[in-house]
Amino acid sequence: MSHHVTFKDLPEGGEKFDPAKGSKLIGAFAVIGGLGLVGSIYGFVAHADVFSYSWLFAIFFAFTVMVGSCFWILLHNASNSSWGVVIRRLFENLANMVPVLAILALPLLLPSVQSHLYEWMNHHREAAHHAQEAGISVKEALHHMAEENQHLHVLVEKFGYLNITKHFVPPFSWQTRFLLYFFVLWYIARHMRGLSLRQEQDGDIRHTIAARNSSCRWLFPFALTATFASVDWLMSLDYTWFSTMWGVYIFAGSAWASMAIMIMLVAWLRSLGYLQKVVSEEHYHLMGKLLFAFTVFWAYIAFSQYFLIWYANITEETRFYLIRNTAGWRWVSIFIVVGHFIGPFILLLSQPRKKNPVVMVTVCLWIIFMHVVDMYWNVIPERGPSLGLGVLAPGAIWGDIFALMAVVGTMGFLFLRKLGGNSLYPWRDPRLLESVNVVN
Amino acid sequence: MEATATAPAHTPADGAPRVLEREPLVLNNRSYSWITNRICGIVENKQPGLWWLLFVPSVILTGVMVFCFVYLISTGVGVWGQKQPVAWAWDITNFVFWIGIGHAGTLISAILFLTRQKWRTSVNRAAEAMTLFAVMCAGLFPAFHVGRVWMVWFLAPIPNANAIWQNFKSPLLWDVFAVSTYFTVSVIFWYIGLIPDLATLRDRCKPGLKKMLYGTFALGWRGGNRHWSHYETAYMLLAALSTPLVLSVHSVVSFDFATSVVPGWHTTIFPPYFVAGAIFGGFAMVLTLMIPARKIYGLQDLITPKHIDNMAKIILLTGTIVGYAYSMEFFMAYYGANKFELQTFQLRGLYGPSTWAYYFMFSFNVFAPQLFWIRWCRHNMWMVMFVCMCVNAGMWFERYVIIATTLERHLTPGSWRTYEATWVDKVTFLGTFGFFMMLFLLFLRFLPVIAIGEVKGVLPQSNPHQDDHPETGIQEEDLMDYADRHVAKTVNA
Repeated sequence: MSHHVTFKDLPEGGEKFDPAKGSKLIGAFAVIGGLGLVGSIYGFVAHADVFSYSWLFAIFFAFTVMVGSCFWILLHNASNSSWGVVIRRLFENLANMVPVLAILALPLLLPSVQSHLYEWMNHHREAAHHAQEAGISVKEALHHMAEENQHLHVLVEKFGYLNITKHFVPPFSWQTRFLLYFFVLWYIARHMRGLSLRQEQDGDIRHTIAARNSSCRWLFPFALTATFASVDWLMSLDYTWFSTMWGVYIFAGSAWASMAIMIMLVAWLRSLGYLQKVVSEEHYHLMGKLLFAFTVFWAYIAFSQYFLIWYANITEETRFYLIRNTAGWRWVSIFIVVGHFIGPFILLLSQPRKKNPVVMVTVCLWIIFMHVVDMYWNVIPERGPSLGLGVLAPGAIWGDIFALMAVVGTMGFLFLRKLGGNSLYPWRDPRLLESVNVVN
Repeated sequence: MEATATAPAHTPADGAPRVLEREPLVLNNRSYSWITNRICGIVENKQPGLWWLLFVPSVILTGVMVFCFVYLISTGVGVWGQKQPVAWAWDITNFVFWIGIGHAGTLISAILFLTRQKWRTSVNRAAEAMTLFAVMCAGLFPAFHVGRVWMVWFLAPIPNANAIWQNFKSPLLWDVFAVSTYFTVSVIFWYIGLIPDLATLRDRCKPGLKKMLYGTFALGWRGGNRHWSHYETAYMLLAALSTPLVLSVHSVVSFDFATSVVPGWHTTIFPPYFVAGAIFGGFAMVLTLMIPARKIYGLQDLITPKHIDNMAKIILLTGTIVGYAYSMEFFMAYYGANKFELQTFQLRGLYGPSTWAYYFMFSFNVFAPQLFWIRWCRHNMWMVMFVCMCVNAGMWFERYVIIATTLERHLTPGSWRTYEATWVDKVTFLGTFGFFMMLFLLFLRFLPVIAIGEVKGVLPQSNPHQDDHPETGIQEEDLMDYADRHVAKTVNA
């Protein structure tokens, strides 16, 4: 950037987004969301078994974006960074969509939905029924059931964690944890944006220090949330499977996808005439570099997990990859290797490409698509075997598309509608000029 | 500490500062010549008595290490304590321990360079040197563990008359490639960084052998624009090349264990967990060496409390990541419902013969660094040294726990045996500390401990535009009114 920006160059009060200017995209999200919701309601009514998986997939996709947004806020504050001040508010606003997601996720709490998704819950409910009849504990009832069906023995072993009854005893029941995950993310998002907005009111630099301290403290609960949400919602789809890397894997994809969304959002806002003075090609370059870093990090984690399970070749672990490496899913797996890693890796290597918004938006669209594919590949292959429908449930993909449309459309619409509520960047942040004038 | 004012040149009408200033990376407005003189002075002047006090025992310990290896070669690997089922014990523990320490150097040099962390300039040189010496110490153990060290070249896939075909499916072989590549690239990276400073030393020497040697290794450096331009390109490329190497080395080391089907070894989180642990242990060792060095050689203005604070925070972060991995392993041992895996962890942490090692590991690596949440602990050098010592010990125990205590209680109870190290194990390990210290002290003696050219580059006076657009700023220390101050008070803030 040739001109050094000072506070005099920037408008007092920052820039406010006018939804009327972005009405095309907002309208598109509304239509997509509306159609998706209609389709989803039909899905729940007509094909609840198949559609439960579609809904979980869509919700989890959005959840990873929330996780990623919270991560970037926390990382930015905790590392005392300055470059990202101009985009931090957008992440704060994005992360504050957690309550909307929580509401959309409520169907996952319904036993009728869970019964299709989580086989272990069915056994637990059956055990609870027996327990009530026989006047014994659920775990004991489960133990009796395991004597008949040896496969259930692991459920007895895992009862302390994987249960739907111990609501108030740590590590709590599945449902309580479900709510807890949303609460933690919601608290982080709200608290961090709160500090940022308060600074806009009073201009006190100490809020920046407070945000740094809080971010450091919340990193650990955040890590636990991302990890155990992935365990509860995805890993327990197959209650026999386990991997210590799982939380890190989900986290890596989350941070990756949410950065891609941020780049697209920034490019879109700039195309509408916003952020012209504060965001430069240097910011695209920086975000591109982080995107590159997470492309590699995800590949490193994904490869390590796959490789170690492949090499050791233990039956308990291989099932996850077996169902994803056979029949039609094999091609999806190969596609993920190419599309999730090799493609973005090559595209993001060059510096001029990272500084070019048009190229970056194209790459980011691809990245978001690949993240959708990755999440799809993680959730959906369980559907066929669990419901006894074979490898691919015919026609179910329409439900998956409608679910994704419903969640993305609704959240995108509400996010953009509310985006005008405060300045697009924290205009009184004490590191704003450092961020605006960043050169790397 | 003498305080010199950093005066903001411009104050707006309302007077309130709007900018949170960065802490200076060199305190007390030191000039270029002060920096050159101070760093070159270490090499040019006589070493303080303390240097000799450390050097002599280090040389003796190195001799002891050589003796131990000679004894081992002449007698056999049986002089070490490993017996079935504990076939890997102190040797591999020491190998992983030293390799881990050898990660901080390249992390500081490469990754912090790529992420534009300017504070790295004061510590990268010493950390890189330390990396090389640590990798040297590490390499000794597997080399001697093969039994016939003179045949260690069989590890290299080169034609030989003995029909030896290397097992390319074995992570142990990948280790050979990973470690040797890492060492080679680290040497090149370190040496490239040294060139401008070697030229500085050359220019300050009187004619003689020293001048000739510094001159030879400075490769005719004249400090021209073209030199710097090539230098920076090479440095950037090497940084980019080293970054995946840092990650690969410890990932491959973790594969040595994780590709097996041994309960307690086979777990998918091992690669990133080992890398985090390596960075953790490496930073602790950097601080262990640099805190005394900055005191002895009067480098407090270059390695400031801010640098130590940053490194302490990295130790806190990586220590907590390591804690996450420990907990995740334990959780999955339970959640996976594999009784062998679970029992391994119960034996490690609850009722095995070596639970003490597990408790040491956990408290040194996870609990001790939590002290760094407190600012005072990050700024009190004794406290920092205490935590770093805990981490140094804790990271050794981590490898001991993973390796020896797991094998002590392998799958067949009939062959269970409690491992005991012999005197040779212990003395050899102690000897490598002597070797490490000896090399590091020689480095202090003959090469510039801080990258002179790079530190100058982060001085405010190196930015020609620093006074072009002043804004009223405030230092965090002024803003928060911390009890211990390091930065000169801002005037008119």
